[in-house]
Amino acid sequence: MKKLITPDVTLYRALKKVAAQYPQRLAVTHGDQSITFTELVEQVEGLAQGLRNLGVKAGDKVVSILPNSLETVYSFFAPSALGAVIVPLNPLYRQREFAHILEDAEASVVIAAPNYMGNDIQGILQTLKPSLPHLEHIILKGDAPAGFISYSDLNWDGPPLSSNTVSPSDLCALVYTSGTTGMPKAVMHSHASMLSAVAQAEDKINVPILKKLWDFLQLLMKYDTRYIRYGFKQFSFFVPTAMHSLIGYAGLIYGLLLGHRFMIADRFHPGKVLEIVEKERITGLSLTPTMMAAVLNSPEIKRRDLSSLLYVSMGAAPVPPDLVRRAREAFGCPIMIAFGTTEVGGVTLATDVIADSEEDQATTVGRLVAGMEAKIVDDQQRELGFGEVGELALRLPNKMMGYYKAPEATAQVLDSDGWYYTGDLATLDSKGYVRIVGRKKDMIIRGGQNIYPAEIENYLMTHPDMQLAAVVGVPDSMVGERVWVFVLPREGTTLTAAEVLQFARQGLAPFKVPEQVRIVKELPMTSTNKVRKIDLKKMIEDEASSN
Amino acid sequence: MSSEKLLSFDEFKTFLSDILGVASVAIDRDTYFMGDLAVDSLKLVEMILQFELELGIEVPTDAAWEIQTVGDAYNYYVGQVQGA
Repeated sequence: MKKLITPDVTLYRALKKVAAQYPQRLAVTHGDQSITFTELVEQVEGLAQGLRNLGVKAGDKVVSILPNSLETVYSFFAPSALGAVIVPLNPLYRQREFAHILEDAEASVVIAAPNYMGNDIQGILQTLKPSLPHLEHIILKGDAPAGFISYSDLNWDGPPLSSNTVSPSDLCALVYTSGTTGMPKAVMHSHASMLSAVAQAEDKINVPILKKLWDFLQLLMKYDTRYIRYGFKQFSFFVPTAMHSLIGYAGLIYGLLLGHRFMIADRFHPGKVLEIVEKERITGLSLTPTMMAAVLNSPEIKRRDLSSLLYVSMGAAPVPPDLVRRAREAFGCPIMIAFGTTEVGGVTLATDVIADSEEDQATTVGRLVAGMEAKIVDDQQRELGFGEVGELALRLPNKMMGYYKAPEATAQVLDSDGWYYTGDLATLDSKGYVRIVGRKKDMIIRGGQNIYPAEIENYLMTHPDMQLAAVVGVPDSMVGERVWVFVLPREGTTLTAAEVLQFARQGLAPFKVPEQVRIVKELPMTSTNKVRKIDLKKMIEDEASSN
Repeated sequence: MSSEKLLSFDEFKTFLSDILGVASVAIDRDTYFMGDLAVDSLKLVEMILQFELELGIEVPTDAAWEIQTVGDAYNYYVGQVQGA
């Protein structure tokens, strides 16, 4: 098969190539709406023309604040046709977070829904616009009041698009993640790094026919006849999460550019996920561990015909081995674990559902994907031996270009030899399997979302009655980790837990709002005057074991 | 709290404001848990499941994921109490 990801390809050109190969195949389904690859390219090019007619040019930042919809897909690809940069954002961010990101990104255009789940995005943008000199246009889905442009009023006319001047090494996307120093920070991805997962998958697909046949026979023996029933039909890939998130947009690129149909759900709902799998004959499903636990608890798991599924993948957070075993039993198909980070842009480690033992599939994050290198290092970045615990470092051809406007933060994780230091503690065995055992960086993963305590602490510290706030992640079997905050109020004030929560809700996206607030009279401190978080975690553990 | 009688909407608001730590005046039927009260889907589901303990009504797992507004939650609660 001819390779899609060639050295000259950009995000837009890759989509065009797939559409040329499969013009009449279904590309995206959302509810009862489906579009073919040809229609998808028409919509993407129409939006790109509309953006160009507004003055958008190469290097400009186009921010998307959209809940899952077909327009989210168009908005994701259209900027790349102009060499502009897509910035996908969580529509549940609060005004303070939007203000920081729109200013930091120097956004020139925003494409937004007027509101989402009660979050008045239109009102927030209206308030912020006068203080954002770079922001020239706000495009709204639906009716647009004065000062806004309606998505449906965009002018699609103009000369043909020519993306020849756009290079695969150009900046393609800014992906904002929780910040290590107080505010969300952006990972810069080139077109090449955005496409790295597709390139890896292509390498895996383009294997000799005899190997393919051998793999097929093994799947038949290990599982059931679903692989025969599937035959050569088009894959349908479903990632029931928000599309601005890593597994959302990475799944979109991966699914579409491999010629699969990409399935969109408005939002995650365990019973509805299973209903869609049955109704749409989904072949590939991707979930976070928290979603998987909810799906396995749904009564629909026993009622629905899930035999179309050829595999289910899990990632974005540590996966408990027991969850893998339960999932394998419930779905009756291979469960693949994938490890990647926003910074690497794709999957770097994955279990192999054919070659790996069931034990390795359940207890490891697999082995390196072709073209990658991994090592385990100590605090001085010296390589450690097999089985020793240290920081996982990865070297791969296409990773992030760095953190946007943050050279120091970039230098902390990327070295001059091209190694990216993940901040995850892991072991590597002699067969190449990696086991994640903890985290070196101060980060909480809650339900697949990365949260840096510093971002929450720095915001809470702006409360006038706050002396000190210390945020810790507390292990939890359902969501991975929970966010707890210990609060030391200023002397003479009467700060309550409810007031802290109220304040948190005003300035932090819902997933960052702490679940437990403890008001304390003192906090354990180190000799360098930092909060001893290890003591706080111990306190929580002791409390849990005594209950 | 366990419900021997049906809570009025105002009493339900007070119940919610207690478990969420938000002022009762900030809550109305159209209030979205996520966008207005910054309660994300995971916390919301757990909170709805708490209804079982606190209000004595049964909430199947899938039903908890369907509730988006305070009005949805109250209607669900009323439906369960009256259907019991």
